[in-house]
Formats: sequence, C-alpha cells, structure tokens
Amino acid sequence: MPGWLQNLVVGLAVVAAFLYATWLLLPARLRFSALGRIEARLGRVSSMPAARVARWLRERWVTPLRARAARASGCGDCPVGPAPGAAGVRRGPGRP
Amino acid sequence: MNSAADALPDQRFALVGLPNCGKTALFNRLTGSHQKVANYPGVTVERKEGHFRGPSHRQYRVLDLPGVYSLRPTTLDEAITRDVVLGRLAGEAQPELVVLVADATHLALSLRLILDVKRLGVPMIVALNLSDVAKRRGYALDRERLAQELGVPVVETVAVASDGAEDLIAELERNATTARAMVSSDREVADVRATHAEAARILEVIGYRVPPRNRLLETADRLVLHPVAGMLLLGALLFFVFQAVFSWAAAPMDAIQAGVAVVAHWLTAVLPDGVLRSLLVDGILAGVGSVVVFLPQIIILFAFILALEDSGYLPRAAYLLDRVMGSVGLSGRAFIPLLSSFACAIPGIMATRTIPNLRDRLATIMIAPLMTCSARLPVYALLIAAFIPARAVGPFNLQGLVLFALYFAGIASALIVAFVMKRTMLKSAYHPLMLELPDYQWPNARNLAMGLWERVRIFMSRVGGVILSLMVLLWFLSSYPAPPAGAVGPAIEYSFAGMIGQALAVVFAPIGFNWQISIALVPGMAAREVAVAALGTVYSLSGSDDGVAGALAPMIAASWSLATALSLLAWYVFAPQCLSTLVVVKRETNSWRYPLLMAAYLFALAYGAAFLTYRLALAFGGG
Repeated sequence: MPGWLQNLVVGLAVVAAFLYATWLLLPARLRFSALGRIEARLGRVSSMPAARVARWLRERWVTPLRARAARASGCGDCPVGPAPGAAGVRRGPGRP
Repeated sequence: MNSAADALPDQRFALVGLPNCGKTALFNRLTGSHQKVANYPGVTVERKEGHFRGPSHRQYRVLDLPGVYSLRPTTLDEAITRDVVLGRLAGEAQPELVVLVADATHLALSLRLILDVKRLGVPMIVALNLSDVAKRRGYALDRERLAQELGVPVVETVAVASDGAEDLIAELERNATTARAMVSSDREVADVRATHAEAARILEVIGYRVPPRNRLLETADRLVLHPVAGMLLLGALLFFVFQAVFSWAAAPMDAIQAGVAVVAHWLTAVLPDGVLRSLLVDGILAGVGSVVVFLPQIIILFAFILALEDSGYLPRAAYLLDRVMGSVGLSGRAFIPLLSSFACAIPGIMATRTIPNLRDRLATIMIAPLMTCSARLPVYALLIAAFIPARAVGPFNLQGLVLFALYFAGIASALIVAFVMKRTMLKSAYHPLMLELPDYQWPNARNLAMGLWERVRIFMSRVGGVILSLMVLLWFLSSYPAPPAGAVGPAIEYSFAGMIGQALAVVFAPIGFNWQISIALVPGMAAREVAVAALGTVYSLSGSDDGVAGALAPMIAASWSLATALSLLAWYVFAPQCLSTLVVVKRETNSWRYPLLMAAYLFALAYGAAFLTYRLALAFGGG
C-alpha cells in the first residue's frame, strides 16, 4: 500500500474517531436535542434530489438514533442494567 | 390503520402496584418495543409510557408508574404515583383507568394499596400477577370472590409468559366503553388501621392461605440472618467470589491474550511497515486487547452477583448489613444503591431515589463512587497480575486475597467517609430498613444467561465504542509530531502525548507515577478501564518489539517499581476517574456543589493515599 494511501486511511480513521468519541462523551440530553434539530432540518429540505437523500438520512439514521437516545434517558434503559439486589426492598416510614 | 381503529377513541390507563410485583414486566409484555422513557418534569423520577392495539384495534396508551406501597407517600416516587392517579400532577393527564398489579404471593400488601385506590373512586382492574407461581406453591384464593368483595374486575396475569396478559387485554376491551376520564378526587386515603382491618377481612373471606414454609428454608434463614454466623457466611461468600475471579479466569484470559498476540503477529507480517500498521498494531490492538483480556473476570464476578440476587440471598445480606450501615449513620436502605455501585456508580446513584431522607440520600450518593465498580476491575487485575505473585497463602490464592483487600478498602473507606459526613454536614436521624425477604430459589439459568449476556454486550460495546475511538486518538497524540532528527529516545517522548505526560508527571511524581501513567490517567477520565488500554498503547509505542500487544502485564512489571504499582492501586481505590458519574450526581442533586465536593474529596483522598502508600513502600524497600 503506498504511503499516501496509508496516510489518507489513517487520517480518516483519526477524524472519525475524534467525531465519534466527542459524540459518545456528550451528555445524553445534548445528543438528544442535537438529533432533534438535525431531524427537523432534514425534514425541511424540499428540493430534489437533496430531499430524497435527506429523507433517507432521516428515516434510516436520525430518527432511529433519536428513538434510542430517548429510551436511553431513563433509568430502566441504563446500559448498566437494573440495580442488582433491587428485589424485595421495602421503604420504611420516613419523612414525606 | 383501518377506519374501525380510527373510530375508536384511544384509552389511557396507568399501571400501579408494589415495587417488584412484575408491573414493568407486564408493561413490557403489553407494549413490546413501543415505549418512551423520560423523566417527569423537574424531578428525576422516570416516566415510562407505551402503547398497543387491542383486538378491537383500539389504541391503548399505558403509563408505568413507580412502585408504591400505599398512597401515603414517603418518597418522591410514591408522591408522583399518587399525584398522577389523582390527576394532580401538572402536565400529566389523569388516566381513565388504573390497572392495579397485585402480586398473588404477597396479596396482603397489595390489598391495602387496592383499597386505597378504590376509595379514591378510580375505575380499576386488578391484575393478579405471578398467579402461576402462587398456584405452583400452593397459595389458595378465590378470585371470583375477591372480585365480588372489591367490586372491580380481577384477572390473572403471568407477565413473563407470552400469553400471560390475554385476560387483561380482554378485560380492558370490555371496560373501554364504560371507563371514562375520572373526576379529580380530593378524597384522601382512609385511616391506615381501617384499611388493614378491611384487607384482613377480605383475605379471610376469599380464603387466602399462604402455604407453610419449608422447614429446611426456615433453618437456612436462621443461619443466614444470624448476626454473627450470617456475617461470617457473607464474608466467606464474598471471599470465595474474589478467589474465583482470579483462579477460574486464568485459562480464558491466557487464551484471549494468545489470540491478540497471534493477530498482532499476523498484521505485522502482512502489512508493510508504516503508519497503518502502527495504528492497527500499536494503537488499536495493543490498547483494545489490553482491556478485552479482562472479560472472563467480569463474567465470573457478575455470574456470582446475578446468582446471589436470583437466589434471594442479596436482600438477606441487606438485612444483615443494616446494623453496620446504621453504625456509621447511613440508612439501611443505602445498601441496595451501594451494592449497585459495584457494577457502576451511575445506577447506584440513581437507585438512591428510594431513600426518603434527603441527607441520607446525599450521604449515599457521596460515597457511591468508593464502591469498586466493574470498570476498576481491569486496572486492579492488570496491576495484581503484574506485581503480585500467583502463589498460595494457605488454602488461598494471594492474588485473590489482594483483590479482596482492594474491594474491602473501598467499602471501609466509604463507611469512614459516611461516618464523617453524617456527623458534620449531613446530620440526620436514623431511619430503619424494612425488607420483604423473598423465598429462596435456584437461580434461573435463562435469567443468568440473559444477565451475563447483557454484561458482555455492555463491556464489548464500550470496547468497540469509546475505548476504540479514544485509542485511535491516543495513538495519534502518541505518534505525532515525529521525533526531531538525531533524537535518541523512543518517538513517543517527543509526541503530543509525551509532552502532556511529562507536564503532568511533575504533579504526579511525588506519588511515584511516571509520564506514561500520567498520560493514561487523562483518557481514563472517560471510563476507568480506558486507562489500561491507554497504557497498552503508550507502552506499545514506547517499545521496539512489535509483539507487545496483549502482554502489558510483564512489560509494566519490568519497568515500574512495586511502590509505583501499589501507589496506583491506592489511587484507583479513591480516584473519581469517570466524568459520567459526576454529571449524574449533578443531575440527581440538581446542584454543582455535590459533584464538585465529590471530585475534590476523592482526588484529595486518592492523592493522599497514593502518597502514603508510595512513601511507605519505598521505606520498606519496594523501590
């Protein structure tokens, strides 16, 4: 593999890793609102053929990602799963 | 969608029930994947809504409310449930119907809640969940008589069975035409004693009989719950778990390590020398391979935790530890959040929502990161494998003993911190723990397999996600800029990462950390186990041998002193490396005060403990 091609592949990998790591490390709320904005903007594209691409992007990528982000905002869908030993705990009397 | 479906108005109902009565399982059974999870406005109580179509094509919208014992709230969860049922919660429409999910094996408790809801004049269907378990174990009850006494429909459900909600759906279809939006009721729940008396009367009338407990299980409980014998048993059990984590994982770990080395050699052989080979071998394989190798240990640890949970032992451990918790001023209810923190501090911190007293809750949140989360296990395992000989001490494995000591150090320091906080900034009265002790049962193989698969999936998605991408970035920072002409040291020393590491090393030198460790601490802020991957990449780029991938332990054993390794272990007992934890603390406390205080006290403890450990180790000849 020629040197320039290696540099190109590695460069693309580094840029992709930077974007992906930044995205993963963003708070879920920011990711969710960003996806909402992207979804809305893609929905406004009306001129062909861009509209077709925008619709494809929205349906195949953004909307499913947004649905996943929505689910991930709750405790029940926390990636680490339910609390071990949570069964059977009863709350006693305490201050309201 | 057909026209018949369009003609029928949607119906909205809420699932109400005791915690752990199978309400969420029923919600999942009814709605499948059609769910939306968020929080109620302004609070951190989860709001789950889903929808499904009945046989008549009517659309049902289901709200899964937090579990409650009564409508007299003692926690935020309970207050939300009451307010939603009564239509008092701003922004939340009152449900037209309540499906009250009752655990058929704990009907006495559920009945009091049913009576509370019924008195409010709320249209209701009672779903007798776990009815299969109740029948199998010999519980006796007359369902029709129960429906007659309550004056509401009572159906049997088995939330875990594929057809377990059919009767409920049929009853919903029958009720859909009659149940309409409720008039908001200002009626308050009745006197507790009157409710108890009425529940007792109904139980008598319907012939509810709890089968006698097995004598063997009674004897087992006497031993397990004994203040001395029970504690000894708990200690022995935990000790066995940590021994097993090291002993049983050795062979699969060796196999993974060998596999990574084979791939590294193959890549080295087929790719020409250049940046791409360096990225794949020194960056990705050395980094990711260093973390993947710990998968067997994580599986073994969680197999034990899941089996103990499924068997019904963990709530008994909570009961046993209530006295210990109380002695440092913590609520016994802190046990479950703290136990959850052994998997990850984030669900542990979220689980503190069940603690009604704010100060107790804050104290539990503040010490949750001291519990040894699973992300710390790779760091401990790496350092123990590199510096602690795998020899026997009596009947025990020395490496297992050290791991046990590290977990114990986390627990002991958490108790000490709680003791100090509860006597200074977070003073409050002691609140007793009330527990329902479930019956013992053999762990369900399917549950265990699913739980373990979930752990593997989470671990591997972290490896393939954040760890992989950070390793690519770290490789870039460790490879560029290229060393100047005539440079004699390894190229990484002249790179961005080398410069950052050497700048940080000034701060960390007093505790024995070299510049390679200092670099690894930075990406370790994203997730603790990333530090191991970072060390793999940094050492791979520092060396001249291409075959280092997957063999990090011998490399650091050769280049670090024992004092440095012990200092790093002490650092990891305390250091709040994970930013996500601090973000969740901010969200849960709705203030920056507590996450900042947490970060400050944990860093101070980590630095202090590492300094002391390093200096003592040097004094005893560990340099």
